[in-house]
Amino acid sequence: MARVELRRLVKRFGDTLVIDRCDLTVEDKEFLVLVGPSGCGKSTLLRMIAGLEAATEGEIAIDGARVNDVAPKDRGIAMVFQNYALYPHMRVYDNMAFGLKMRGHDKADIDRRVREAARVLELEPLLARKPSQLSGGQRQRVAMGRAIVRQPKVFLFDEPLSNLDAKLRVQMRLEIKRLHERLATTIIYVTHDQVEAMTLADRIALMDKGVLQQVAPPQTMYDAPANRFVAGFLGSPGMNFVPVAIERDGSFFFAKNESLALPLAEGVAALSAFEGKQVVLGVRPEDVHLTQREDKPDHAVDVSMRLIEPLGSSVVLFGEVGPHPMAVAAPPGTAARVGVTRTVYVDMSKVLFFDPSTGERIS
Amino acid sequence: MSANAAALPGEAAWPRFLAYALLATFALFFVMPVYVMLATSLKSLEEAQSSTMWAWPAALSLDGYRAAFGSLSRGLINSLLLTIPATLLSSLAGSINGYCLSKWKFRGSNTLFTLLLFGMFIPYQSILIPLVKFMQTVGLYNSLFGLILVHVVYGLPITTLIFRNYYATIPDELVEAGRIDGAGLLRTYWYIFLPISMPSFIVVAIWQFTNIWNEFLFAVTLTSSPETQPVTVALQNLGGSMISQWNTQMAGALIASVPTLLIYIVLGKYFVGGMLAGSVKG
Repeated sequence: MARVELRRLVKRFGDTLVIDRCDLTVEDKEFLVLVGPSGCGKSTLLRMIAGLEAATEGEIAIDGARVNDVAPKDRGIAMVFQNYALYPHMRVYDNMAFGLKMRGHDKADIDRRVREAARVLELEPLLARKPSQLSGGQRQRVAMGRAIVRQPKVFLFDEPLSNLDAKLRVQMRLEIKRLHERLATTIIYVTHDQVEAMTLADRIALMDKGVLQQVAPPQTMYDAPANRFVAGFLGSPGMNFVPVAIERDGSFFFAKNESLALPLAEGVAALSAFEGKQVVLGVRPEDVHLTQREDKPDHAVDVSMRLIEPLGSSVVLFGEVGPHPMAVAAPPGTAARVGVTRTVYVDMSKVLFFDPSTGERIS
Repeated sequence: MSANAAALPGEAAWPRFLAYALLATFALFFVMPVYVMLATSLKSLEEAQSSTMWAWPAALSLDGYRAAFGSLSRGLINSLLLTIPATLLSSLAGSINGYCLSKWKFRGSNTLFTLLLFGMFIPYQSILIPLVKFMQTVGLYNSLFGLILVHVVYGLPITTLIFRNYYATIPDELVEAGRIDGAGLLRTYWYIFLPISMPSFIVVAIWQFTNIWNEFLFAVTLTSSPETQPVTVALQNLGGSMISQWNTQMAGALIASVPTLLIYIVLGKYFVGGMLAGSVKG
């Protein structure tokens, strides 16, 4: 049982508010990914949980016990740093053994635990090496080994993969996922990479400017973002946003601007309150199609093509609807030319609307 | 000429040649007094005269060395007893200072560091009289121990600066990893920082050893008897007789400079980088 609870947590550096009243509960054995743009406060939040930063206000509890005033070593946590922070003069073995040695474990116990961790992480042949003799991926595994031997209640990962090349990152991502299944401990993982967040997380906690925007399972967050920031953060290429006005024609509602007029699907009752007002329409590039599908609520829009990006598995067409950018994810092999105007079809069942003043999704 | 001297592609050779010629001239200029010192030290008393100072000795004589060594041996021992502990202590103190001022910052630690650095800019002459008075009052005047303490204190600014700047290049995450592993301020220093400080210890040791060994002003004012005088003071006393025994003085000067040379030769080869390699992303 290792539940991490943050209650009304606030962090200020001088006059700068870094974390604003954060409430978050990480369940036992959960893999929670804290994600957000640089400087959003996600690393600070993690460091507060670790005890490397003091909370200005609020409470941190691990296993129901308040740990605000507990030293990092006594919180039952282990942390993997972005730059690994291995002790450069110690062999791999000693790097992993150091924490146990500091805690006064006896030699036999240290040896057993280090060898077990080395076996899990396939570090056995490297135990006598110094960190400088290891590759990036190996160092990363040593850093994880150093965390594992402590048998912590909670693992904290601070952007652990951002120093690795793209291929190794994918491989280590899988290893971390496997490790989580094997160890069944609570993990709080900080990253700015949305792919890591989507693939690893049981739940994602998305932060911006020190404020928690939404906490939800990856697919929920992708399909039903709480606000425009969340909608724009997840997904690549990002969601298209087009300002429109909601207008009524008899019993039908339309989303209109100078370049398009889209009839709204029924059941968006909340939108009726916005009749005659401006809202922001959001649609993901993959919900815009090049052909009209049968029995689907697709609606035509004219897009002038500006840039074609073939990605192999798909082709992204970047264009404009009037003055507003619009990206379309098309199947591979799609022939397209820059400069022409093309009719595309927006899946109206996938369209989202956001309040332009608050950014909240209208639902 | 070495391979480095070869002109790079697209570069004319003669500016490079001029630069080397200029450097060679400077080197010669620097070496000349050393030549005179060496040549004179190997002459007999009769031959060692200022009129023939440029001439290589007609007959090699070790008289100067014998006389100088006899007069300086006590001073040499004193200097060793002074310089070695003073170097070790000031290096260690500087290392601990630098560690705290870079990795365990506290309110006012930057101000304290600035104040500490001011120590480097205080001319020794200006504090000489109060220093002598103080040392007399606390009973450390004319003792090697007192002189050691003075050098440790006056070494703090530079040793602290060097160590602080070195530790500043070491990622803070190493301290944090230590904290999570359960090592506090002292154990983090002992188990993590001290073992990776060797490059700075070498630099600081060479610097402090050379400075303290060659230091004259404190030595001459804080010691009053041959039993406690370091070699720099003893060397000065060599020239104190009626006639100038140039060969003895030059031999003495050479003998007195041997330890600092040795230190550089012995420790210089440990000037290795890369102690930190592999700790962080590579």
